[in-house]
Amino acid sequence: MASLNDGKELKELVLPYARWGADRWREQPKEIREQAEETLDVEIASPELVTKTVMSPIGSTQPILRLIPMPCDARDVTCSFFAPVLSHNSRTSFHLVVLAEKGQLAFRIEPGDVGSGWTHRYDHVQLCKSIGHRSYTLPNAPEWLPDSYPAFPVPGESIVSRFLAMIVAMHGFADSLKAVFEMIFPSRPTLRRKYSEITEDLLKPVLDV
Amino acid sequence: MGTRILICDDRKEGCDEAESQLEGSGCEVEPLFGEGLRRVLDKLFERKANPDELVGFDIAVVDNNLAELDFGGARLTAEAVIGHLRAFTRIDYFVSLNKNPNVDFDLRHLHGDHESVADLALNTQHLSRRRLWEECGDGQFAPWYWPQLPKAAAKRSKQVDFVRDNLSASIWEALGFPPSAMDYLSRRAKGALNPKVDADGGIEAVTFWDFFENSRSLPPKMRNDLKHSALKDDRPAMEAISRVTAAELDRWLRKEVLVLQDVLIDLPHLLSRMPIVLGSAVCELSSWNAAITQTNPPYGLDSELFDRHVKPTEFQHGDWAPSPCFWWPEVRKDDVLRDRFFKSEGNWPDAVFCEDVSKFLLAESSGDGPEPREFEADIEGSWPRRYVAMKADLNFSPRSRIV
Repeated sequence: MASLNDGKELKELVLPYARWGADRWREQPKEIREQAEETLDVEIASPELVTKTVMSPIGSTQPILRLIPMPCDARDVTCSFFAPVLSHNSRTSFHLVVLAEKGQLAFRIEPGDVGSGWTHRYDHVQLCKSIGHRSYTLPNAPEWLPDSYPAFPVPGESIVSRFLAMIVAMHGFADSLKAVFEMIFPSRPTLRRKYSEITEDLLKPVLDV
Repeated sequence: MGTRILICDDRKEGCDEAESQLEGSGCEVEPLFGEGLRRVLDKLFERKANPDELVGFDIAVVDNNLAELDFGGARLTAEAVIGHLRAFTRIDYFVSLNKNPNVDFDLRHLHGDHESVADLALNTQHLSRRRLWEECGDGQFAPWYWPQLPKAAAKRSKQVDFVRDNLSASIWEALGFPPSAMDYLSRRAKGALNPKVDADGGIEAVTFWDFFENSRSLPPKMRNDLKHSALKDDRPAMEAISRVTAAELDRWLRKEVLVLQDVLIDLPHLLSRMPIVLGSAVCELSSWNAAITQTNPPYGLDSELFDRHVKPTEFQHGDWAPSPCFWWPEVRKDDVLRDRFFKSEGNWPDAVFCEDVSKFLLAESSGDGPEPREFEADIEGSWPRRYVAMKADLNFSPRSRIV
């Protein structure tokens, strides 16, 4: 079953960000692109395939796992990627892959599990060894890596809050996040302001003001 | 006296069609076709400046297909004659007609025909569109990149004077580019200004003379002859150089700088980026659309915000831009405006600027018409994705650019 409710947010918020990432990936130095392709051995979404990749959670067919480049310049990170993935509870989670000079890590930003007895009933972020319906195992991921715990809570309980949590994790907050919204919504000032406000509301309990 | 337009075509029927489309323009129109046009072009090709038949016109509309004039050799086109007409007559503005008869709106370059040496490339049926002749915001087809032709022609003669007075000066300095603009000017724009200069340095020193030496609208030999004559104080040669340089520099500014909106930004795109400059009027869509038709400061913006934050960034050479423009790198680094934007309250309309009708429309239709469509232009800037209203019965090309 597809998470049809997530379609609007995927199109409105995730898609412009993903397009920016795919465009910027083409401008990355050749050695970084080659290193990522060799290390990960999974398809990296080109600008032409970005829409299909982003909207895959609401598609009717089994999606092909593709990674979308993230347009961020985080310190000590060579490059990073994400993939929207349909979770077992029909909602969209985001899988994040971070490449550094000497290794790589992956995280799942997932909706809470449904059901009263589940311990992870809250939106959370976990380390993981495999991504995309466990169809792809990260090369060189240590066998011992725990991928159920710790499951850190993520504020909010929507596709928007999960996506924004991932963006804040990779871009930071304040001016750098405003710059992200300026880049992805140059023609849509209302969306720029809306998502800035949502992020601020989400982080308000933990902001050092 | 009103604007006078000369229509040039190899066939009388072509002139008649264009003339009928121009009926509502409020301009005085004269046709020149067939053998008459051929005789005039003969004189120009022999470098006899200002033939009587071409005196007193502000705008020339030249059909691209001039094959029936038969000068021998390759088929004659508007592209081949406009450079001569521009250099050796006093006609200010040149429109090439029907070069791309199957394209009404250019989704690729946001400029119309990218290769044309004319000031603007149109199709015959476009000539009746109000946008070309007067200020309008009626939501009809009115591509943002179309200027008002009578105004553009009047500005051209001032541009020519400016070039004549500044031939040895740096373009960068004469037009007042701020240092911050260097980081935002595209590689293509730098290359088009002078192909011999590195992207990282030297652009500031390019003079109007240098720019003329790379002119595209005259054959190289003619360019060199004009330059040598001008250096011997030949006034007609100096005049021709100023005219060609002014036209091509105006085209460079529109095609390589203004389209991107990364260095110079005009009012509609400034409002897309920073609608807060409207002050309390930002909540009304009508205020957005009223502002973009204003021609005098503060252009419908909040007076205080304009005076303190926008006015200091205004492009001071209005004759070189189709509408009021501002240095975007200077506006975007204004922390006060940025803070106001993100901290502002109140409901704004979720409006997008539609480049094909030159009007803000709601991004999500309330059911009374189709929603604006997003497209990705093939431009070398940070803002290639824009919107069109996409009226029916018009050709938007290439359609693959629609997102």
